[in-house]
Amino acid sequence: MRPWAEIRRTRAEGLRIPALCLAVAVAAMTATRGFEQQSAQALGREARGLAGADLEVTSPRPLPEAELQCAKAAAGAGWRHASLRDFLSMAAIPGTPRSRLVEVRAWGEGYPFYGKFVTLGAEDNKSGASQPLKNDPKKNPHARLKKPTRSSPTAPLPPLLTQDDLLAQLDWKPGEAFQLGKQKFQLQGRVSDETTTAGSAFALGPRVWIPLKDLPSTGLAGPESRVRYREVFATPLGLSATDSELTEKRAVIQKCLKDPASQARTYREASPQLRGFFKRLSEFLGLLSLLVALLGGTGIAFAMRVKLQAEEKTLAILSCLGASRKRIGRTLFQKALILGVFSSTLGALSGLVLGQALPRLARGLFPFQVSESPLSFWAAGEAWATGVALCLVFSALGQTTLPWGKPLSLLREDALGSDEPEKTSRTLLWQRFQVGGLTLGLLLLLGFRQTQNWVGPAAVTSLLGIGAILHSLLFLALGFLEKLTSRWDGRTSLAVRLGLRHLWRQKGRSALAASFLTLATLLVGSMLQLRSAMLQELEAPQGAERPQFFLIDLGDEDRPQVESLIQKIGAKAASLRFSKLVPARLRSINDSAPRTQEDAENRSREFRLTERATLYSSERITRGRFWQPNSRADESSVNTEVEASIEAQWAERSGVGLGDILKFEIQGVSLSARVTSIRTVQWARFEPNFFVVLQPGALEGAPFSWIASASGLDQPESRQNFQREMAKNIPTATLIDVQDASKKLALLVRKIEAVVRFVSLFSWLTGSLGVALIALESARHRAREMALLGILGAKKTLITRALRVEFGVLGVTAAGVGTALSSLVAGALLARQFGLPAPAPDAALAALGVLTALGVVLASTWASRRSLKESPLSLFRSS
Amino acid sequence: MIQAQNLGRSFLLEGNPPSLLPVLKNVSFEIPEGQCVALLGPSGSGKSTLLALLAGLDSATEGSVSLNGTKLDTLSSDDLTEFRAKNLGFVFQAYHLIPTLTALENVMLPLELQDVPRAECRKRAEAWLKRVGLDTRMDHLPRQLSGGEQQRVAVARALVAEPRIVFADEPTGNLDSVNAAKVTELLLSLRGRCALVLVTHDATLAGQADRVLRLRDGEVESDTLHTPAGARP
Repeated sequence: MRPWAEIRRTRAEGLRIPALCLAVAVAAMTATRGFEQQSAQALGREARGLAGADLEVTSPRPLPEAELQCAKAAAGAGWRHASLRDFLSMAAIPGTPRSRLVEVRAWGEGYPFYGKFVTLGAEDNKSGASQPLKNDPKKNPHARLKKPTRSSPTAPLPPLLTQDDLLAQLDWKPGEAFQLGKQKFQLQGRVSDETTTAGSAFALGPRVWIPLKDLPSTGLAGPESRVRYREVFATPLGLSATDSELTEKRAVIQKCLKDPASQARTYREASPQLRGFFKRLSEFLGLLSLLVALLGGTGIAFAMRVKLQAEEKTLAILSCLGASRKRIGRTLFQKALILGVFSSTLGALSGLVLGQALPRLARGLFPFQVSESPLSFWAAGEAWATGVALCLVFSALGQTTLPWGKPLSLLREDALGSDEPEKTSRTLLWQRFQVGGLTLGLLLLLGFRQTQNWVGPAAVTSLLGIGAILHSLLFLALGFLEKLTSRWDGRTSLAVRLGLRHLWRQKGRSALAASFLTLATLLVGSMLQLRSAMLQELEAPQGAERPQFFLIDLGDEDRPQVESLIQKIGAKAASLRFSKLVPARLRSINDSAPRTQEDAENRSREFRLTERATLYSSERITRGRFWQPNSRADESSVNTEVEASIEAQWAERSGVGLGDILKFEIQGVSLSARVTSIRTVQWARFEPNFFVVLQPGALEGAPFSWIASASGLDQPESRQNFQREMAKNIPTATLIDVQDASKKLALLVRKIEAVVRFVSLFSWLTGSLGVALIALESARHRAREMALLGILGAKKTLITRALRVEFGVLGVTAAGVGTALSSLVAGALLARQFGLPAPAPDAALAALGVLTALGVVLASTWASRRSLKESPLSLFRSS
Repeated sequence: MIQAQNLGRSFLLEGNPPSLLPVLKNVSFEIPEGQCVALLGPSGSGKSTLLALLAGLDSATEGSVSLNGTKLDTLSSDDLTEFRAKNLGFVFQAYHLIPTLTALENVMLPLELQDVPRAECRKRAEAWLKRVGLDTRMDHLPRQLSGGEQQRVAVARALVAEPRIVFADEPTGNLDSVNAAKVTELLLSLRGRCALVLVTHDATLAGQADRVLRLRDGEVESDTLHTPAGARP
């Protein structure tokens, strides 16, 4: 009854794999929690730096002077203020065909108030070694903009700062100017390090900084331009404000803003896109490590069963000698505690080391640096405690599934394990209920902790459900195989049939073993296919229909000019597809208040409407009917209902169905649209896609701009010429190079996938260990069967073949079901979320399938290695 | 038919220094074809060890065993397995049926191991199950059968391949008197068709054997032949 001595005496036999299983689970939790905490800390630490201020007001339109003054007054006396304008534009080197889409930031004096902003001279250190400026750029980065390094004999060009990326992409040479819209700029410096370009991983181009006062001369900030107006505020120098003070001020400032599209935010709420992405990634990683924990815990439960089965006799003797079940239970609890502490410590230490890989894999994903060196001891401690709790609860679960320690078992020993249903006492049933409840409670709590919301507990419940479905599916598949082979003749057939029949051992627990890896395969497989489909779409060769450029913010007068530009550059195969773009607001759905959160958000933001006669080839109607190509809305439609086709996902999120009436407001004029069709859209195809498309004529008379896609510009020179001519002739339009944007997105997909795959591998590893554990659990039965077959005259080859069949079928079924389901899941996700077709199975998926099958075979063979050595005599002696 | 010559078996006992524990010492006897022999003796007398040696499941440290003129110690492991499949049948105290196979499949197994066509296996197995009174339980798994039924399936499995020798280790040890009687009757019905070597504590069963070999401390204490009318010296 001394647990530590017993573990030492048995040399921890049978405990090594569960220890490893738990250690892997704790390592996964440590690594992901650590990464998440480090990232969250970095985000929190650099939040002010990312925003560059304490408070900000963002708006798609210039803030009226009265509102700005109101906001300034609300911020308080002495508060610093600066104005920023962010937008996309083309930058070109005048007189050359070199041009590039850039993110322009026009900034006012003082910004950024916080964060890092290091600049180098225009030609300083082109080799790359950092040479900070002599003056302190952090205190006054405008100093660089104010000090032109060169002056022209006539008038100095306005200054411009940019990132090295742009210089490399444009092959910039000293002395060359930049053309932004109608204005030329002189490069004054390069920004080598800064924190205010939040979400740089999502940026469509490198950033350039110009003085705000020079923005009007570019002609790029017209009323219809896609400019994001930002007014930023910071506490008076030397003072600071608490988060609650800032929240209060934000609320007061928000009251100054009349336009619902104008939003006041504190620095903690800034960069909502980045925060949303970070939250979703953290949630997903949390869910993955939760799965690993679930698998690890189940492994512990099985290990405890193995241990109890092996010690059944000892426990029965102890029971005969008067040791109460409670006392024996206490000893088992102490053993589980030792196992938990040991494995969790091992796992936490490994997690700290392995977790260092995550920030490296995620480098570039966030605009802030996630520290690599400091170890997340808090995350390790948390994972350690979770590991110990998992070990205790799951080992208790393992204990309650066996009526161990019954003195009767000494009198009636059935060496082969008859699979006789055990008679369960009420006390045992009650214990099972209690421990089952405790386990579920712990898992739900863990789920909540991992994701910080109810997605985690829901995922736990779903995982348990999916596990049960997988188990049933595998059962069905095995039953079908068994029926299929039952009529074969011959010795091979005997090996096959024996192998298949053995799968039903202990109520088909082998199928449960396979469910472990099936689940892991499902996850990893889905991830692989999602990645491969996204990359295929993003990196697909340019087809005839595939757009090469997007042209945004084209005025009505620009349309013929763009068409003539295409003719001018001599690209005969080029074609342009124009879509009318009308900004509007969704005011109501069926004249009712917002029904969902999405609905409420929809109504507060600007909506872009278009009208079209036909569907694009990539669009598909799922419900209802699209209008006839020649149909037109009534000319007086501004006050009557027109037909609308809405995108399927948006329809679902907003709770809109066929026949519903959407009421839009276009600059004070109301437009009612009846939903007559719902359609799917392939968002990843980079076509001018819209959530709501209206019948032709519906937007007649409404103020609009054009959005266009250009395709068929097959020659690099024509593309370059088109970019140059656009930048020169229509500088107010934004030209997005689709190929370039695709490359950027593909890089992002790869990075996210690398991080997720890293964590998924933990679940795969735990799954393999789980298979080994369950195989170990049945090893005693297996050994007896092998010995019996030997006595009856079965040669070693037949026994080995039967084992191969058993494990092979298990592995192939797990791999087959896992990869097939992963295809279904990935296909459904791709169709639902991205409107993409399911990808054909590729080499990576096949490799995963083979790896899974091999994992099952190797793990099971390893766990059964002693069974093969069992001599017939052992059975004889046990009789 | 079965010939044991100066059989000896010792086990190495771990310790410091290790020592040898002799379990069987210089045992010699012959069992002619069709004879039913009961091995009797107190616990630790070497009965099960002797049975294991006679069945080729264990190797003797001294002496040799010949079955139908074949010296078991000259056979390779695979040959020995094949020899067992063709010539020997086994009945155990704990039945030892394969839990994932039905009663019929358990009985078919020895025939299938000899590559007998499946239809033939099925026919013969069904006949044997009918003979042991289990024709209505053929498709049941072992856990769905009572102890007596399981043992009758085990007897049918031991006999279906028509072995020349059947080894039974305490075949009635786990059974109640009614089932024990049924199994005893079944086993004794084999008399004359094949040799039967029984290890038993059941006096009734031993009393009906043709011959009783009594072991004590690893040696044959007595070797008694019975006549159908009663015992004879």
